[in-house]
Order: sequence, then C-alpha cells, then structure tokens
Amino acid sequence: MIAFEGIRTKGLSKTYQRGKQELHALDHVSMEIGRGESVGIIGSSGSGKSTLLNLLAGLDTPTAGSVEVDGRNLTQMSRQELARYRALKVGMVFQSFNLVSHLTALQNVELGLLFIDLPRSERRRTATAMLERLGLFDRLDHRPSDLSGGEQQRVALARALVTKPEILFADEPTGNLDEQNTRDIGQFLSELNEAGLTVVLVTHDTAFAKEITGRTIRLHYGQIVGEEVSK
Amino acid sequence: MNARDILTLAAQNLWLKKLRTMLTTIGVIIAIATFTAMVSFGVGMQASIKSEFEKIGLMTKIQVYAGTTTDTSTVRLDREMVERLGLLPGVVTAFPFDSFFLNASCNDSTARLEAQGISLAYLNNGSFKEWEAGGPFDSDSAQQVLILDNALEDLGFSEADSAIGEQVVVARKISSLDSAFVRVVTDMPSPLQLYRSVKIDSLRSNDYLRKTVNNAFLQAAGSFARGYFEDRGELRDTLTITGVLNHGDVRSLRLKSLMIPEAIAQRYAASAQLDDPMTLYSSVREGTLPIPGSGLENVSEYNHVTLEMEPMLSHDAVMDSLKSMGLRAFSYEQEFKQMRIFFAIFTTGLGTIGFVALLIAALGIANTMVMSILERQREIGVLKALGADDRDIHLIFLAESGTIGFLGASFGIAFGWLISRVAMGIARAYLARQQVPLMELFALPIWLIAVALLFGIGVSLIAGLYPANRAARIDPVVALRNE
Repeated sequence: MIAFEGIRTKGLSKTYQRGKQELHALDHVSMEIGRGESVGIIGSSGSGKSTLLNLLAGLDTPTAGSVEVDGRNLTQMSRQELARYRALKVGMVFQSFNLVSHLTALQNVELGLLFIDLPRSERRRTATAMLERLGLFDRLDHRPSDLSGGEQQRVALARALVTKPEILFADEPTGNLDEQNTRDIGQFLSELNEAGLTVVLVTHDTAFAKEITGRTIRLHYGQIVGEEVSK
Repeated sequence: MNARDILTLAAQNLWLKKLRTMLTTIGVIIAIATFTAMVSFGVGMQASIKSEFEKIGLMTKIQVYAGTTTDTSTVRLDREMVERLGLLPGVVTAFPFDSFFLNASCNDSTARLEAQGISLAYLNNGSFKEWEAGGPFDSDSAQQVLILDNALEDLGFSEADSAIGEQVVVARKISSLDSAFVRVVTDMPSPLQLYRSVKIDSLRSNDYLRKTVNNAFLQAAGSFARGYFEDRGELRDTLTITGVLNHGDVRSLRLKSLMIPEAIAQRYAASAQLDDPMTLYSSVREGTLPIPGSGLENVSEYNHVTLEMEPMLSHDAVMDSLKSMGLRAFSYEQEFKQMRIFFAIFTTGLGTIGFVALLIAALGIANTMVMSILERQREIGVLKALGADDRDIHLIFLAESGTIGFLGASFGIAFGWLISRVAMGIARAYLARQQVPLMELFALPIWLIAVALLFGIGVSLIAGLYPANRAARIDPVVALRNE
C-alpha cells in the first residue's frame, strides 16, 4: 500500500488540565493535507488553531489520536526523532517573529541551519542567499530591534525556509504587520506554494486565508466545523 | 550540532551578560586560587623537605645505635658489628662514628671543640656537594682537618677562604694506667709514717684492723683515680685545614665542628672512651680496657654507625634486620614515609578549604544558569522549534557552566600562583631576618595545575547539570507562548 503523501490526522485531541477542569483545545480532529497543498486553518481566538499547528509541527503531543506525515506517525516518534522532523521537514513562522534579539539577521537565519549537518561556511553562504532572496541583503548585520515589523517577519521566513523544508507552518504570520507587509508576505507564501511547498497557514483573518490558500478549514471550540475550497 | 557550534553559542550567551558572567567567574577564580595556593603550600613544603633530605643524601642513610636484644643483653657497635652491618643486603658501606672533645689552637685562639673521625669514602659518597671553601682531605691518614663554618670564629678566622691551608694544633689530655699506679705509689705513706699512724696494740681488735685496711684501700683508690684523671699525658697533632662546610647544609648529618681523617681520629676516640667513669668501670670489669693512644682495634664501641644504602631502595628489609639484631636504627627514608602521610593529610586539609570555596562558587554558577534559563525561555523554545533536541539544549547550558569553570580555573590558577609568590616574598624577608636558611614553601607542579583545572571545570559542570536538565525539559509550546 502506498502511504499517503502529506499530513493526515485521525481523531486528534488535545486536552489541558486547568485545576479540576478539563479544557478540550482539540476534539477529534480528522483531516488530510496533501503534499504541495496550501491550507488555511481559520477560526476565532481559542478555537484550537495554534494547538493544531503545534501538533502538526511536532512541537506538542496529542492527548488522543494521531498525526501522520508522509505515512510516519508523529505520535510514535521519540523526542529526538521529533526534533529531527522539525529540523529537516518543517519550517515555522510565528506571529511575534520569535527572532533572537541579540543575534543579527544573518545569525538568526543561520540558527535554522544549526541542526542539520552543514559546514559553517556553507551555512553562512546559504543564509546570506536566503536573506538576499527576501530583499534583505542590506540588513544582514542588523539586529531585530533595528528592523521594521515586515523586515523581521521576512527574516523569520528566511530562517524557516533556509533548510528547504517540505512543509511551512505559519501561525498568524501577518498578525503584527501593516497592510502592505501583509500583502507582501501573502504574495511570498503563494509563490512558495506554487513552487511546491506545502503551506499550512493559521489565521483568524478569513479573507486573507482565502486569498492565498487553496482550501480553508474552520475550527470552532476544537472541532472542524467547515471546510471550503477557495481557489 | 557540533562541539564548535555549542561552544560558540555558549560563548555568545555568556558575553551577552558580561557583568553577571564576570562576577560568577570571579567566584570560581577566588575558589580555585585558594585551592591552588593552599595545596601548593602543602606540596611545596613536602617537596622542599624532600629536596633538603636528598641534597645531603639523607634518603640513602640509616643511623644505627647500640641496643638490647630480647633477652636484655647489650648489643654493642664494635668493629665486628660494623663489618656485619656492611654486609647487609642493600648496604653500600657502613661508617662508624665516634665523637670526642679536643683543644684546638689556631691564630692565637684556643677553643674546646667537638671532633669526629670521618673517612674519605664517606666524604666522597655524594653527601657533600657544596663546600663553603676548599674540599675533602687527601687520605684517611693525612694530617689534615675539615671544619664547620660555625667553628671559624672560635679558631680566629673571619672567612672560610682564609682558613684553607692554615694549620690547627689539636690536643687532648689522655688518661693513663701508668700515671694512676705511679700516683698510688707516690701517695703511699712511708713505712715510718705508717708505723706512726698505726696503733700496734689495737691491731688485735678486728674492728680496728678492718677500719685501718679500709682507710688504706680508700687512700689507694683515691690516689689511683687522681693519678688516672689528673696526671695525664697529651695527644697532639698539627693538622692543615683543607675544607670548610656550611653547618646549615649538613645539619641533619650531625657532623661535629672538626672532622679528622679516620686513622688519626682513632687514637683520640680510644682515649676519649676512658673519660667516662661508667665506660671505664665497665671496660675494667669486662677486661676490655683500651690502651690510650693505640689503634682502632682498641676502640671498644662506636657512638653510632651510618649505613649508606643503595639509592631508590626501600629500607624496610634492612630496618627489620637491624631490629632483629637488637640494634636501634633510624631511617630518614622511613621517617619521610611517615612525613608523606602527614603531608597528605595536611595538604588534603588545605585543599578542603579551597573545595568549600569552590562549592560556594558552584552555587553561584547554578544560580546564574537558572537565571539565564528563566530569561531565555523563548530562545530555548525557538531552538527547539528549529530542530534542537533535548541533548542540544542540555549541552549548550553545560558548555556555558563549563566555560565559566574553565575561565575561573585558568585565571584562578594564575591568581593562586601570584598569591604564592607574594606569600613567598614575605616569608623570604622574614626568614632572612631570622637567619633561617631559605626554602621554597610553594610548588606548582603540572599535576596540580591539571587537578585545579579539572576540579574547576568538573565542579562547574556538576553545578550546571541541574539548570541544563531543566532547560532541556522546557516545553517549546509553553516557551513560545511566553511572549
């Protein structure tokens, strides 16, 4: 049997214990995202979007259910295997950029290459090329505090893409950006998807999701409540 | 993630918090400096004493004294015994020693000095490397003498060099049986005096007769003793000074002020034995009364015998043999073994002070690392999101604590050495004022540098273990949520 190429979840659940109360962040979510697909996960705050993204990226472990990526079950992987999965297969972008404040733009992008076996000189060359591709060739030695929000998010994107991942998980990547930068980032994500990258975008901005992804999945209180093909 | 990347990240993180890193490192520096200086003192003292022992050849010597066997009979150090000692396994040579007082005259100065016989072989066995002036005498029968520098003034010399080649007249009154008997005869009353002093009528009384005979005997004994000790002849030699030794250098060899070639000294030694009334009594009783002025064969007993041992040889076997022979013996090599145990305890005690300081510094490191983790939670989350596993995070934090340990230990060793130099400078000034021979009180051997370095790094790594484990266990989801 040929394994499904892409991401598949089955009965994925995540429950948090808050004192005596149980909080169901995700409740039996089953879905598929094919290789090269661009999917937007939308929903209001607290709907479980980020929890789902963390589980798909191997940052978190589910309470129940499974996540399969290219036929491999993440829930059966060791912590070391999950780290390897994140290093080689996945790129992540966050709303708050999550750049290391004391490192330059170039050093931040190089961080993404630390956990794959590349010589130091090769790391520098690859990171520089990625930043230049994102139009930041004159910002290599700038620290995050010296960059605008849009530039910081482009550095974060460069860091996520520098390892040439198969899947990009973007958690509210435009949440802290102005209209122009939102458009630019959206455009760039679309181009990446057209180039074959699987993009999973989490956002509360339904219009933005529909504009740049081919399919949207709506979450409400941890459950899939709707799915729509947008282009 | 390779070692270089881990160390680079650790160095960047430490550099970012320079002041905190510096303060934590200073704690380690002080601790390691204390440890290094303390242990250096213990090691230095031991090395210095051992070096002094070796310099004068004490590590290859056993001093043997007369003793008693288990059946309480006396074991004497006579000529025959000296020959037996020389044949013990591991013994290179057995040197008999005897000391006696002489009147020494030179430069219009006369002093009563203690002297001893010494053989050329003993002088040449390596114990006398440094001479204040001159050197050993030519032969065991040469009319020459060696002196210690502390006798120079007594003999009218101001400097060691000026004594070389000068002549010393040594002389000693010697007791004589002849003079004793002559005194008995001359002190004896004439027949007329005897006749007048005796009451002829009373001779029939036993009490009177006994009293008269006792008086006569006591008078004769008194005359014998006076004649023996007062009417003495004299031994006299004119000796040329060939060498002067520093008394401090040879203190442990128990050398006397004058050292005379063995063959000449034997005559003086034999006569000197009769100075002691108890020796005289025992010699008369045992029929071994020596003839003053005669040769070595008449020396009934030596003060002590020094055994020159083969180098690097344990003295245990010979010491056991000497004990079974009923002799008392003293081995510097064995004493030094005891001293090493003492120094090991002493040095451990000193090192413990440094260790306690290092434990306090370790708490500082742990505190610094925990603070660092709290501040860098999000960074740890980012690294995990980028593919770092628990081991990578663990190693980064261990590298940071290890770097603090390495820097602290390196500078601490240098600082400890500096402290030891300052302390040595103060000690040098004090010892010079007290006219005590200078000795190196501190030593910093390579092994101590290595131990201090490993100690500093090791304790720092242990201190960093808990924070590193804590950092490795951080949940990336929680860490990234901390915005």
